[in-house]
Amino acid sequence: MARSLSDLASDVKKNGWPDALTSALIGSCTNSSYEDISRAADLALQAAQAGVKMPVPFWISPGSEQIYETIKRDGQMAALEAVGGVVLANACGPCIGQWKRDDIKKGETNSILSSFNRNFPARNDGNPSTLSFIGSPETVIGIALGGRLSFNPMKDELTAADGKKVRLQAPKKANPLPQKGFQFSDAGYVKPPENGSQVEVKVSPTSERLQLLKAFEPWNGQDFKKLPLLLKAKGKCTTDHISPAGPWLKYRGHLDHISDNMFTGAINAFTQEAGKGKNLETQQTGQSIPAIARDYKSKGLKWIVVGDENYGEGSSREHAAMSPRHLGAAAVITKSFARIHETNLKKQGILPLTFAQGADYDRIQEQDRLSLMGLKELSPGKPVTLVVHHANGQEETLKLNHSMTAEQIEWFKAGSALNLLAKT
Amino acid sequence: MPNIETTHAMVQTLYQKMEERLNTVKKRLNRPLTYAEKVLFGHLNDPAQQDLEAGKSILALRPDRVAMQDATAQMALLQYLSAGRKTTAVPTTVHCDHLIRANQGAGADMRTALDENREVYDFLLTASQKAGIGFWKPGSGIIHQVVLENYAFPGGMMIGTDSHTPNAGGLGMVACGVGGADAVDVMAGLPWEVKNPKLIGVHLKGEMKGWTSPKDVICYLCGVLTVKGGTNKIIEYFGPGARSISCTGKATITNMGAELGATTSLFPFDGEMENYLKATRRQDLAQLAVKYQHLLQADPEVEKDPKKYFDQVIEIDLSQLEPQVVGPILPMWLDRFLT
Repeated sequence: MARSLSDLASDVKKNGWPDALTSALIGSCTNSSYEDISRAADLALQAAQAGVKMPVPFWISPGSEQIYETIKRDGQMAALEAVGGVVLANACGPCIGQWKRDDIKKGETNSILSSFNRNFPARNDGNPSTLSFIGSPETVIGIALGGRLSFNPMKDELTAADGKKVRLQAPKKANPLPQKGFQFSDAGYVKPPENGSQVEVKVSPTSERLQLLKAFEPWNGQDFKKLPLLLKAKGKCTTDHISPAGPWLKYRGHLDHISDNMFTGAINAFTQEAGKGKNLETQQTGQSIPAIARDYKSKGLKWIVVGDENYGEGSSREHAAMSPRHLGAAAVITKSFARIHETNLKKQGILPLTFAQGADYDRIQEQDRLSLMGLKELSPGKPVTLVVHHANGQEETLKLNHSMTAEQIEWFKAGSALNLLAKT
Repeated sequence: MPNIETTHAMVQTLYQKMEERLNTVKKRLNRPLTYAEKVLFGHLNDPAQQDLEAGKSILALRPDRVAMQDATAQMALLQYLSAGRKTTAVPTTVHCDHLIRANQGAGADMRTALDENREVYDFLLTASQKAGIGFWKPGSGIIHQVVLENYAFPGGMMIGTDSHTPNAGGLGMVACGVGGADAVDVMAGLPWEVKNPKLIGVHLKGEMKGWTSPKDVICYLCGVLTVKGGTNKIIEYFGPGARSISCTGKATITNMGAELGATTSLFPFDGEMENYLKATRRQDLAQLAVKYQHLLQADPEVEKDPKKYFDQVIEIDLSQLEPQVVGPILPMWLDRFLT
C-alpha cells in the first residue's frame, strides 16, 4: 500500500497496473493549504517556463473560498492554470465520489493520482475499476507532468514541446502563511438570527429526499406478547447490512423512504438469502424484509429481530436504528452487540437484549412468535424473560440480559431519548 | 444572538475549567499527562468519578463545538428539530460541501448543484436559522478547512459528523468524527460518550527537505500501522520534528489519521499554531494559548521518556523520509455514511 516514490515504478510493473495516468487531482480538505498550493505552483511554474504542459486532465479542489481568493491574488492559481489546471468548486467533489466523470467508462481499468485522503474502490469516480493512488500535491504534480506512474520527477526528465529535455528542481520551501495575509472571505456565511423560533423550516410534503420526523410512540406499559420474528440474521450483520448505503444515501433525510433498504443486506439464517424472509401473517416466503415489516406495521403488529455476535458493528449510522423503529421493531435480541449501535437502539426506544446463554440463539425458529415478559419491572442489571412460542405449539422460556441504565430505561418508556429530551 | 465564533471569553472560561478538572484528575492518577490526556480529561463531565481505564472505560465528555456537513446534517437536524429544541447548547455550524458534483469546473458545477440540491439547501438553511446554527453556503468551502480557518483552537474539543473531522488536530484540538445521533446529543446539551482511547505517540525528529512534505508523514504511517491500527486510539505527535511542521501541514497529518481508524490525532500547541491563529485574525486566542500553554502541551516528562506514557511509540526521522505514494487499494477504515 505505501511505498517510497522511487519504488513506485517497479511496483507498477510488478503488479501490471496501468502506467498511464488518466487524471491528476490536488487540493481537498486534506491538502489545499497555502503552503501546499505554493509548492505545487512552484513545480507548475518550472514546467510552464520549460514549455511543458500537463499531459492529463488536472483538477484543483480548493478547501475554502479564503484559500481560493488568496491563491488567486498571489499568482499560484495562474501558475497551475498555465499548465492546464481546472479549478473545481470549493467542495469535496471527487474526493468523496462526487465526480461526474465523462472521460472514462464504468468498468474501464485506469490509474489516477490525487492528494486526497481516501482511495477505496469507487471512492473517487464511482468506478470500481479505477486505481486510485495518493501522494502529496508536489508528488502528484511531479508524476503527472510525466503522464505516467512510473515517472520519477526526482530523477527522470520531462520533454518540452520543442523536444528539449528538462528535469524538475525540488519545490522550494514555501511560506505556510501569505505575506500579505489571507484574503478574508465570509461571503458564504449566514449568521443565525437573534431569535430563530419564528423561522419556518422548509420541507415540502411531497419531497423524496426530506421528511420531517414524527415523534415515536411512547411504550404503552404492556408486555410485548407473541410478536412475529421478522428476521433471524446470521453471521456478520453490520450497520451496512441493516441500512445499506450506496444509492440509498440520497434518501438519508427521508426516514420512510430510506427504510425500504432495511435489512436488505442481512443474511437470513433459515434461507441464507440476503434481505428476504417469511411473512408469518400471510405465510408468503421470499418476501423482502422491509415489505414484511410494513405489512406487520399496517396490521398494528410490532416485531422482533434476532442477531448473531457483534451485531451492528461498523458505524454510528443512526438510520440502522431509526428504520427498524420506524417500521415497528420492539426489540433486537442478539448474542452480542457492537457498543455504539446498541446505544443507538436504546436512543430510538428499541430494547437491545442479549441471550444469557449464547447458544439459545439456535433455539429460535423461522415461524416463532416471541413474548417479552415483566417489562414493568425493567431495571438496570435485571434479566428479561423471553417466551418463545414455536409453530408446533411448544413453548420455551429463555433468559435475556440488557445493559440499560435507569436513564436509558426512561428513553424506552418515553419512546425515544429525543421524546424524553422534548419533555425537559 | 447565538454565538457561533470561538470567542476569547469562551476559550478563557474553558482553560480555567480545564485547569480545575485536570487538578482533580492529577490527584487521582498522580502521574504526568500527555497532551491528548490533558484535552480529554480537561473536558470530563465528572472528573472526580469518571472511570479512567484506557481502552476500557467509556468517557462522558463536554465538547465545545459541533460541525456537520450537508449529507449527515440532514437526519441530525431533523432529529434535533423533532425534539422541539431551540438554540443549540454549544456553538454549531453546518457546511454545504458534500453535494456538489465535479464535472466541468467551479462555475458550471456550482450552478448545477444549486439547482439539483435546492430543497436540501433550503431545509438546512432554515433549520440552521431555527436552531441558532451558523450556516456555510455551498461553495464557501470544505467543512474541515473552514473549521480550521475559523473555529478550531488549541485545547478545544469538537465533534463533527464526518470522519475527517480530526483535521482540527493540526490546531491542537481533540476533534472526532461521529454519527448524527451523537451530534444531536451534544447540540441538546448532553455529554458525549466515547471509549477512553489508548495512546500512540509519534516522535518526530529532524526536518523535511526537498520533495518531502507533511503528506508523506501520514502516508508512511499508514504503511506502518495499517488499517484499523488506530482503532480506539489517539495518535499524538511530539518532538522537535513536530514543531518544524506548519499548522496546516499538521492538519494534513491529523486529517488522514482517520484512515487508520484512530479516534483522533493531534499535535501540541507551538509557535506554528500561534502564527496560524494570528494569520487567521485570532490574535486574542493566540495570546491566550501562549498564556495557558502548560495545558496545551504534554508534561515535560513525556517527551523525555515517551515509552512510559504511550501504549506504543513510533519514531520517524523527517530528514530521512522520502516522498510516499499509497494505493491503488488501501482498504482503509470506511464508513460510507461518514464520508
